[in-house]
Formats: sequence, C-alpha cells, structure tokens
Amino acid sequence: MTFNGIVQILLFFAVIVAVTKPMGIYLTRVYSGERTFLDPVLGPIERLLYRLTRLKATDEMNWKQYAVAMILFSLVSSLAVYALQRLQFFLPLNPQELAAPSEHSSFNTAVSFVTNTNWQGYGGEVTMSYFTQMSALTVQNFLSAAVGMALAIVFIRGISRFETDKLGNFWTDLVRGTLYVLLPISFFAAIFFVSQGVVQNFKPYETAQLTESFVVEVDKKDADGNVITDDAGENVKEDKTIDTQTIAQGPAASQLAIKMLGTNGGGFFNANSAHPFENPTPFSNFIQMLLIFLIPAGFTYTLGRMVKSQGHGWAVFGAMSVIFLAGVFATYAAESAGNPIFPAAVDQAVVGGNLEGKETRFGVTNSALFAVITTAASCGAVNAMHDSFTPLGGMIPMVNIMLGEVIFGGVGAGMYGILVMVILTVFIAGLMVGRTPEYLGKKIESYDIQMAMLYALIFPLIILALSAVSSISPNFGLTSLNNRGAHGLSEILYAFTSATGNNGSAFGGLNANTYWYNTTLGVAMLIGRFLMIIPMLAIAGNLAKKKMVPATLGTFPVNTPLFTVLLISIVLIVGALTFFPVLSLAPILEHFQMNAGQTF
Amino acid sequence: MTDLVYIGIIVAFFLLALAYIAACEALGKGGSK
Repeated sequence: MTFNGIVQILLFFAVIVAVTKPMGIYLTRVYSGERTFLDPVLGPIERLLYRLTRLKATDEMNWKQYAVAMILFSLVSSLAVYALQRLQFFLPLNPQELAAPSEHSSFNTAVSFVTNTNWQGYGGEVTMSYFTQMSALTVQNFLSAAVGMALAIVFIRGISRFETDKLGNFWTDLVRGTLYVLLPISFFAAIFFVSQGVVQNFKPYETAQLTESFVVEVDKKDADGNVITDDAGENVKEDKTIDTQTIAQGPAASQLAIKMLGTNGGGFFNANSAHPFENPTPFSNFIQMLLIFLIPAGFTYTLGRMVKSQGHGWAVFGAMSVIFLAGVFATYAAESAGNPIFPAAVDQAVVGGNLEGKETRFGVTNSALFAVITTAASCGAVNAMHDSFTPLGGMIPMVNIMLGEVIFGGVGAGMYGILVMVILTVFIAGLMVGRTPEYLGKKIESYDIQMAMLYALIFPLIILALSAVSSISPNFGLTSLNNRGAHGLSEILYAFTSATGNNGSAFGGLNANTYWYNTTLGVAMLIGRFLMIIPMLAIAGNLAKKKMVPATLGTFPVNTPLFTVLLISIVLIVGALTFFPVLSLAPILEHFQMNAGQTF
Repeated sequence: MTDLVYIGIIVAFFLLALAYIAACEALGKGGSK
C-alpha cells in the first residue's frame, strides 16, 4: 500500500460524500413529483408520454398492483430482448454480419439485462450487432435501473406513509426515473467518455497490420471447418502466424454511461472496463467509479428526507461507508502484498503487488478500488480480472455480493436491500430489550419479519444449492472450469453469487456459455431479482397501512452511531454465518495453500 | 423448438412470480396482527 494509493481511495470517498446530498435532494424532488430545473425541457415530453399511453399519473397503486405491473413489464421486456437477439441477423446495423446468439445464450442475456444483472456469457464485440446492443441491451440498462429505483422509492414511501395502502404509480415512477435522472446524466457522461477516447460510431471493424507478427498453435481443421483428430482422439495442432489485429468499433460510449450510472455493468466489449475503448484513461476510470455510487449514495439522503429523519439517512450511509472502506482497504492490502510464491529475489515493493490480470493504466490501487465498488454496488463492470486477484483479494468482492448488495448496492436495489436489513436490525434490537420493535413510528410485527426472512433466505438457498450441484457434476458443472481445487470452487461459487445477487461481474476462469450455466444462471438471476422484490413490496405495503406509534423512552433510535454499529453487525452476521463454511473451502483454503507454495 | 423451451421458461417464471404475489398476500391475511 502506498500513500498515493490511500489518498486516491480517500479522495474518491470524499467526492461520494460531497455528491450524496445534492443527488438525494434531486431524487426526492423527482419522485415526489415536484418541479425540477429540467421541467422546462422534459416536462412536455413526460406529459406527452402520459397522453399517448392514457396514463393518469396521479392514480396510485397498492403493493400488489405495483408488483403485478412490475412483473408484467419485466415479462414483456424479457421476451423483447430474447427476440431481438434471435433475429439480429435480419435486423439493421450489423456490419460484421454476426449470427444470432444460441437459444441458451439469448435466454441468459435477456433475463440478465432485465434483472439489472448484466452477467455476460458472451463476448460483446463478437456476438452482438450494434442494433442489438442499442435496442435491446442499452434500453434495458435504462429500464431495469429505473425499475430498481422505483422499487426503492416504494419502500421509502411505505415507511413514510401512515394508514394508507397507496404506494405510488409504477408507470409514473418508471417514466420519471428514466426521464429526469438516468437520461440526462447518461447524456453528459457519454459525451465526457467520448472526450476521453471511448468510441461512438457505426463503422465496421478495422484491421491493423502488426509491426511484429507472432505464431500460435491452433487446432487443425479440414475444408469444412471441422477439427481434425488423430488416432488417439486428440486434436491435431498446427502453427498459425498472426500478423493482423481486428479492432472492434461501435456505439460504446452511449452504452457505457448508463452501464455505470444504472449499476448494470454489461460491457460493450468483452474486456468490459479494462478495454482501452471502454475505459481509456485514469480520469474516465474515476468518473466510472463515481457514476456507480452516485444514485445509491443519493438514495440514503432521499431516505432521510422522505421519512423526515435526516439522521437516519446518514446513519444508513455510515453503515454502508464503514463496510465499503473496510472492503477497499482489505482488498488493496491483499493485492499490494502480491504473491508470496514469487522468487525471493522479486521485491514486491518494486513490482507494486499482484499485477496479473490488471491494466497497467489503473494499477493495483484503482483495480482494487474498482473491484470493491462494482461488487458493493450491484454493478458488475470490471476493469481487472477478479480471477487473477489473490485469494483474499478476490474473496472481498465475492463477500460484498454475499452480503446482499447492500453496501450502497444497485440503483434502488441497494436501498430496499438495506431497508430489509434495517427491519431485521430493529426487530433484533427490540428482542434484546423485550419490547415490541418500532421503526420510525411503526410497530414491526410478525408479517413484516416473515417477509423479511423470505427475502433473506432465498438468496443463499439458490447460491449454495446451484453451486453444490455444479461442483459435483463432472459432465456439465466441472467441465467449464479452467482451474481445479479451491480456486475452481471459487469460480463456480462466484458465478452463482454474482447471478443471484444481480451483480453480473465474472470471476473469470469459468466458461459459462454452456447449456447448464446459461440456463441455471439465468434462473438464478430471475429468482434473485423478482422473488426477493415481492416480499420486499409486501413489507412496504404492510408498513404503509400501520398507524403512527408515538416515540417513547423505550423506542430504539435509528439515527445514532449505536444503530449504525448494530446495522453493520446484522449485515455481517447474516452474510458471514450463511456463507462462511463455503468460503472456508474456497478462497480461505486457497490463501493458506498459496502461502504453503501451492497454486492452481 | 429450443426457442419455445426458453420462451416457456421465461413465461412460466413470471407466472410463478404472480402466484408468489398472491401467496405473500394470503400469508398477510392469515397471520398478520
């Protein structure tokens, strides 16, 4: 760890603190239907949309109506993204004449982008046409993020309202979130990224002549393109001289902006934010990290403002910040320490730590920081390969997702996730003192806790069950692995954690573009999104119906450092108790094996 | 044919989600105080 690196991390955090209040105030105004400075430009467009769809913006829904609207909208979105992929060969803006992705890949990608996961079993530049990238994937980047934000606002309304079953209008929240928050910020962010060197065009791919050719060994194929095998069944190899490089093009900047802002994370290029056309400079890297946390941090201030307890908003912000900074410095320390298996003559202080799988443009500090941000929020974009991190350095991003994506979290998803943890915290605090738990003037009752447990339990159930099946299945689970042993288990575990947590980042090292992984990861994403949202909405609906209970001396205050400490404890205990056994078999075991001189 | 299988999985899941909404609501009517 260097002084320079620590200053960069603290500078990033200081900027997040600075933008939290203005962003929170703006979000409050947008979702309260108040006038914003963008009204003169966007107001007519919003009203036109309502007129065209015959939507009465003031008609509010109860939690069930809101949930049904969200489910039907997501169903139509999923089918549309699936169809656009399967028909891409017949659609325009396909200069490379790319064929349709396979059925299982199209299914995986469709649910991946609708659930705001953006797990990618495909490589963008060799699979998706420009039209598919724009009309299917980028559109879903906006809409899935807007859905998440709407759901967070519904939960906050559930807390702030009394004796009503009305929680707002899904379509109005969807339109206002997209129109007033996501589109304007993405527009200016895209222009900024172009200024840094991110490409934005419809050109066919370029071919560059290499100044120095090289030879690689490839499978020998017959005239029909089939791989030739010898008598022993082994693939016959031949040398191939590589003297050109294909340089991918496309409308990357417009997708990149919302990819970060909407905590989607799906890269335009396969290397994601490690690609020089997707993240060209340290400055673009800093702005990308900032965009990931911008809305989730703002929501903590929105929470305080809407429930009329700003101290509560900052207490939640404080809990997120403590866990976030602990994760950043733990990962930074692990990556700076490097690999002890290096020869003794290698001075880690000179090398700078573990640089395998990292871009030299970003180095250890910004790779570690990016990895923790992208997994704390449910973004999933990467600027380094997490598979190449040290065992403990790679464990922190995985743990971030296992904690439920509540450390700032995805746009909206992080807020409603932490609020479920708040409900559990208040409940446990109530049990400790033997009183009926109260939260901001509402009694927390059995139904709220039942729903909170449904929310909390389905997450580890899916991750652990599917990881277990994959880990013991030599024919379809283990064949996709590049590494064996503890590291191989980490690769499988990370994949299902990332999918169920709707993060989308890949540990790497696992070929997930197979029938088994595309299908099971797709189902995991659907369950991790929608079967967690529904009980959350049920809690919101139940909270809104409650009567105000006046605060007494026995009421547990939720705006104090004590509450922050308790909230952190609950988040860590729920995550640690559930996942510690499997972590001990994967990255923790690998750490000790690495120190004993063994690699995979 | 395979397209229909995956479209079927998507539709079936969202139907399940609608049923889950009803189940969560029923749980509330039966057990909430």
